[in-house]
Amino acid sequence: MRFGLREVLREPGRFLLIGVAVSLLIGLVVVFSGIGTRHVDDLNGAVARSSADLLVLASGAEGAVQASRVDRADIESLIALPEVLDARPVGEARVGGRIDGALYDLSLWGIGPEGPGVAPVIEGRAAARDGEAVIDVADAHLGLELGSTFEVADTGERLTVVGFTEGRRFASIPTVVVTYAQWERTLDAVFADADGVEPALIAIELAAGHTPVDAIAAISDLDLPIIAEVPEVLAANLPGVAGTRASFASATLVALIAVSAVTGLFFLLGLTYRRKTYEVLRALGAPRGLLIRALIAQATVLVLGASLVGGGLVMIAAALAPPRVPLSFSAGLLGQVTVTALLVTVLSTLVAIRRLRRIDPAGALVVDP
Amino acid sequence: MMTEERAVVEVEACTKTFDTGAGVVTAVDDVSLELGRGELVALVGPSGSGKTTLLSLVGALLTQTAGTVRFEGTDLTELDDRQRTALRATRVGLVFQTAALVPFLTAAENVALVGGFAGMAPAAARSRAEQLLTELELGARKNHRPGQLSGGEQQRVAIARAMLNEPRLLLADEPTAHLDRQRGLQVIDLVVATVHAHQCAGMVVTHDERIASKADRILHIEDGRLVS
Amino acid sequence: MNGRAVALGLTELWRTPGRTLLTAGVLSVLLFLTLTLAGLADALDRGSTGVLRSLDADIVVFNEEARLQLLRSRVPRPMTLGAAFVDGVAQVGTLALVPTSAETPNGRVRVTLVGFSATTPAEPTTLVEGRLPVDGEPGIAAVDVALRSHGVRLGDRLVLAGEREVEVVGFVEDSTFLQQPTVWVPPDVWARVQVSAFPEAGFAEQLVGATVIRTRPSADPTGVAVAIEAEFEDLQAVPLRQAVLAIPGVDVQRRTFAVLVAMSVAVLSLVVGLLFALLVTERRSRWATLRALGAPRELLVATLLVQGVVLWMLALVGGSLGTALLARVVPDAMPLDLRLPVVGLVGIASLVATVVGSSVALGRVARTDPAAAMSEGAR
Repeated sequence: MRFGLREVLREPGRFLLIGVAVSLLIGLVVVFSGIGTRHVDDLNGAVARSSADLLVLASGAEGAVQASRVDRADIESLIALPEVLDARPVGEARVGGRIDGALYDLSLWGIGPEGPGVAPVIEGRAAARDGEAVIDVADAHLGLELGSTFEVADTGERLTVVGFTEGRRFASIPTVVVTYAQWERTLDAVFADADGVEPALIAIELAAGHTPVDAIAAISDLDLPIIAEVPEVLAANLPGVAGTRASFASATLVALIAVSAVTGLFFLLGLTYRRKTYEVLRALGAPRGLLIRALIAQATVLVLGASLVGGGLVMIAAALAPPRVPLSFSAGLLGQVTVTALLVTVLSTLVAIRRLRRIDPAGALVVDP
Repeated sequence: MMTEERAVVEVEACTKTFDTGAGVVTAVDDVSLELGRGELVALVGPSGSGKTTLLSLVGALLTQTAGTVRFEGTDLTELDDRQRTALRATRVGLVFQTAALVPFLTAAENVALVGGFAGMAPAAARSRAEQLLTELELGARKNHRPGQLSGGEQQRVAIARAMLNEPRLLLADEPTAHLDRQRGLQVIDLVVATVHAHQCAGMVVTHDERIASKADRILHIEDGRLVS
Repeated sequence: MNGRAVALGLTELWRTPGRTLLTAGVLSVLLFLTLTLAGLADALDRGSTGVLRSLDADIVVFNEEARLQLLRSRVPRPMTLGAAFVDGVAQVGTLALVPTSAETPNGRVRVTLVGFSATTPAEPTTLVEGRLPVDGEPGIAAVDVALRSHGVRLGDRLVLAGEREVEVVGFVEDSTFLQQPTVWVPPDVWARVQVSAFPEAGFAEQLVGATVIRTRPSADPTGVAVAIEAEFEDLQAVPLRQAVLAIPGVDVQRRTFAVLVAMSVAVLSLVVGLLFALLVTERRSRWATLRALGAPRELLVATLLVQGVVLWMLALVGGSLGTALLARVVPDAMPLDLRLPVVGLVGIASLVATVVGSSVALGRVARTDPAAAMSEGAR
């Protein structure tokens, strides 16, 4: 192994070049995984991380929360079920917001202040009264902090930020959580001619001893134009989520294949370049195992070094990227990617190892033309 | 013995030094010699004596630190890199220690390759290459690649390559170093015959006195200086 | 000399097929990555923006509160009619969107319902089969070809939002919105589905979604947009390309994928640089021999460059085939497409990357010392 590492130290040029290439590839893998997760979170976090046991939406919406409107009267039917302990309306609508002078599209959620579905806060407190709002911490960069106010452009109302939540954005736009009463008031003002606004969802808390499966079946038996689902499943089926996940998963896989191919080629070419050296070493009595371990050691050092550099580049890029670009760095993710890259790299060196095993020590005595 | 005709190569008080970083090494020290047409000169010396360096100076591969090297009356220091390259392509034939054939080209293609460097049309170069290989009794091997030829056959292909452009000077750097005695003698006999037949000047570098004895003239070099 | 360089370069590649295929294979994987990213970005972009790109229009007008969002826009009809009289405007139309569902032979599917005014700039120009609905014609629709994969054919009846039936009379292509197939109907059908899905919106006959404008050939769309905003205070008028950019996710997606594709091309350049560096080092003695034999520097550089270009071509073909195959086998949920313009763009970028990557090695070859061909030779 020391033999292999000594070559890396004394011929850094070759390894540096491939190291930079692999660093960028590993950086790409980390970025894909991170962006993919962040994109999905931005799309469906508000649903995926709902504290409700079940979410009910209109069956005609085909799983699209934005297209769902349920009849409030159905809440009574739901509460009457033995499987259901509590059922509360949840509203979702797009409104315009003026924050720090700039106009934004907001996803306005009306939940609580009590009951299933209320989002936990990481700072401050949950909205408890009209005029209070909880913002996703990812949107704080718009110029929001605890106590700051912003305007609902459609109605002129001002809301005060009383808390921050995390991982609860929706449809990739700034997400605001208010009480359901506040939400109703806002929507009533926007649609002044309408006879009230129906909620998009109903959040369900299950009674003790009952499972989501039981409750879903019971709700289905009510024969109402609604369906119930656990939040994670509903979130996974939201428009765009499956496609986003599949897209980034594919890109990640291809990038990992590229890591494998590039490092495999590097070691194979290196073996060709160094063939005479290996023949001489074998002629001098070096066991095959020593040379193979040296190769694996080089591959390991290469990947570990590349991961450090690639991870560092992503960390810097995430720090410098504008907030609109969903780039983030996670040490845990880097660790996972490093382990995977190590695995694929060692696999890719198998071809070179096979060649190494067949090196003929007698070749040391042949002068190349 | 020099004829009255001008020498092909004239070396006057030539010195070549190298800065190795650990100090200056004088590889060739105040050497003067002439190479005439139809004469093969053997340059003999132990390893590190400067014989290959001197060969490189004569063949326009290196530039001397002091002194003059003239090729057919032209001072080589007056030529730029492009002109020196063209000189080697058209008027100097080189045979290396290990034949140095291009591994993915056939014997005929290796020989014809230098015709292209000299501006020869591909068909003409190919035809001449095949003619030379036939003369060297390698006609049946013209489509074989170097890996399919023996060491001696490779060196004969190298000699054919060196002669394709009808050079005025043939230089051979230890051409028999990696051959057995019999094949080595065959190769040196071929070099001698080629120089005489084509009436070009020739120099062969060797550390083997038996090989050197085949030449028309022997020069000994030690520590960069000609001693005889 | 160029012919000789090409011949020499190609001969080596042809006669060392193992090495050539291995190298081309690795570069193919890198181009596969780049093309997949570019293809994803392209497909995502086109899948989100087709509803606007399929129009022959220059300007889109929204009400100010909508912030350029098609789904939220509500322009009063009188303003739409008034916009027709602004200098430079040739024709106006109305376009309104609502997300809903459609019952197809293969089950219910999410769609975007598009209410449009026929024979105006709001009419899609990408009809491939059948015809488009005419204003006032009840119960008919043209649908995006994406619905064919759900078993929809001409003459089929779809049930919108679980209650309103329409007959499919035509297919349009490349008209999706936010990856969802569109169903194109007369404005009143849209209005009825809108009020049924979002009762709070009411049935405001005097409100349409967005106004779509075609300008006169001699007019500057930007100038006309400014004139419309000056005429109607509560409206926001933008050129079509700006409206496309305002579709949710499009801008961020474009920027994000641009960075990812650039990184991928940078990796390609580095790997090419590495490969060529190894090649040059491995063949150092051969380059020296050829220089000693009289080969001009330019010939050696040109030979290597020819090999680089050929390897790039092989890699582009390999990468394109890989991505095209992947596009065929991935599920419909994953938008991946490989169009010729994308291949062309990536091809050019990767060719430049290849030349840049190999430049250091080419420089080294050009500086080969012929004396190094000799045994004791140059030190």
